[in-house]
Amino acid sequence: MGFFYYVTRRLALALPTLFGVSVICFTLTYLLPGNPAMVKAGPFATPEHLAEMERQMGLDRPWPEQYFRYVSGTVRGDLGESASTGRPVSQDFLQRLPATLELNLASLLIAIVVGIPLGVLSAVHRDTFIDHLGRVVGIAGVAMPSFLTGLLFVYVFFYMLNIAPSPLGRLESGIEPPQHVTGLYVIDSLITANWTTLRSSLHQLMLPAATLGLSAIAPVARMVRSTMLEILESDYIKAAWAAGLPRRTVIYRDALRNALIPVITISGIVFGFLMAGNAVVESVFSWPGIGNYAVTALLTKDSAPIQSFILFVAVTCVIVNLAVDIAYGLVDPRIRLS
Amino acid sequence: MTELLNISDLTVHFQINQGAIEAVDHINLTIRRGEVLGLVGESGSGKSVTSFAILRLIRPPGRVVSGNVQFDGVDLGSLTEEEMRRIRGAKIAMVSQSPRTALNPVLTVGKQISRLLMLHAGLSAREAEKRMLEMLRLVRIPAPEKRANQYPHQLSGGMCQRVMIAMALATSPELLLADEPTTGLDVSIAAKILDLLRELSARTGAAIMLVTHDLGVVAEICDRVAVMHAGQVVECAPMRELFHNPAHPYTKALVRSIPRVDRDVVLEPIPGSVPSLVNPPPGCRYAGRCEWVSDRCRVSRPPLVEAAPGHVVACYGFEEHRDAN
Repeated sequence: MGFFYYVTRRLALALPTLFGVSVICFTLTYLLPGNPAMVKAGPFATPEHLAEMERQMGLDRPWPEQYFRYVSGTVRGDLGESASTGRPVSQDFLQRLPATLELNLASLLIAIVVGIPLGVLSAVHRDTFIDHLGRVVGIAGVAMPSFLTGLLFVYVFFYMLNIAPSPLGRLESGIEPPQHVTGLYVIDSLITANWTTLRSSLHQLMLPAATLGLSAIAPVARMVRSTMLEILESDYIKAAWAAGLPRRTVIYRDALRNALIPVITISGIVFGFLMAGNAVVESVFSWPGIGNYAVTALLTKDSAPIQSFILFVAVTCVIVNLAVDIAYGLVDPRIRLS
Repeated sequence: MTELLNISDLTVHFQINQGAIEAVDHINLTIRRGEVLGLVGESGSGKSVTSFAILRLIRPPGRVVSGNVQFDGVDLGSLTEEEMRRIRGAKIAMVSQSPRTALNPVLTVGKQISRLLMLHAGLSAREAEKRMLEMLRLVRIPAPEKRANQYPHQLSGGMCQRVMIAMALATSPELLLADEPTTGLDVSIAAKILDLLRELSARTGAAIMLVTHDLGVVAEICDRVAVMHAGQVVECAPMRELFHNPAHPYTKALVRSIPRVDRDVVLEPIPGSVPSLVNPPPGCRYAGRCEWVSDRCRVSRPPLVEAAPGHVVACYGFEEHRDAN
């Protein structure tokens, strides 16, 4: 009851955000260089043809009406049509979404699995070699642009060492995608016990996920480190030492459990950030996801997919933030709803 | 009564950029079995550091420079870290200052007590739970079954302190280090907590080292009192003796600064403040605030000498001012 009310209220609070995003996406069509009608009509269109196209697309109507049509279309799942593929954007999106989700979830997993221990070690061995190393790795990961790390990885692991496959998509050529369950190849092939596909999809996923994950390790590790440092100095950790609890318990159970609470927030933020950042990585690795789709659209000035991509990232962020709030309540008893 | 804990020549320094803070300076202290020893002094006089040093929990930038702590005939300094850990919480337990923040916020209070029982007493989960509820009942927490499943933020400050005491006494320690156990609690709750400590120590035979800045608390439950000033023990005496015949000028001043309702006296604050402990000058550290100060006090440190049986004081001038109040 209380929980349901809470979620509903949080969803209602997301509405103003979504309104703002829709306005931005809508205006963007007009800010982008090039008239959308011109893009669609092609370079050799006559002025009459252009006017006809504008009328067809509703661009001659007053803007409130256009906005209303845009919003009602979006709500119904009509995201417009891609000028370059000629297919509805929603269809293209649905097809590419699993690839992006797979890549982002894998990157987030890497960021968390590497970032948390790195943060804990840095805090426990504060100002020692380990701490400094963690700092360097973290800062380098953030400072290096993803396209550069991506290309470096491809150069080293594919070209030089030849331990990674060619950076072309989600499966090696000649390997069939697994039976569709979730659309995430790794999970689907696990479910259907399709080991050949599992191996190939993991192999393909390895480099792009490492590239994208690397940029997210630092925020996680830094957050864990600073929270751990604060918590290790707290009264209850001093009390835990004084109570004779073993080091393992004090650091990995008492302190880490408390330090993980802010990590949930940072994971939410990082996920949103990965959603936007994957565009570049997907391009480098020819990953058939929505980021790659958006970059292609950007290069061809295809407005509907760009609009939809922005809207999609914004909506994802809203949903992830909601999920973070709910997760908070599960981990921190102080926020648990009465 | 036999000696339980014997601290000799303990010195603790904290290294900072400007030099070393001499937080605890060559102190000697004895706690006997079953007694309640009050350790009194202003903030920054080294009381809490002493209790952490007993548990060997001084961490960098802090450092134990010299000293020896004998507990139950064992030199704690000679133990391995693992042996020391088995003593902490089991034989020497601590009740921390600020009960609300000294409990882990994400564990239920019941769990925090029962896990110590499983760790130190080797009880099974079920036995530990049973014993934990007994402990909560012993510290008079109403509806212990309900409270055990609650988190610290759902309990009042006084209730949290009862939980801390239950936690500390659960493993029947021989020594309880109670660090300002009543700060932050209102007067009536504080009095109840003190009664509880006294009663439980009498029942279990545990000795208590009560760290406090409040002489009222000392008068309430202590058998003996040690007075600390700027990292040094300046006087140590049985409780009544200390209140009636304080020998050290600092103790006299402390006693004079207790508000009284039965007599119409003007409260006298102690002039000055605790001197800087960063590279302090040789000699008596109270010299800068002392009315009896002589040249000798500034150059050499007065040793602890017996003023009366069981009553020691570190002051060159106490003999000539014996009758002054």
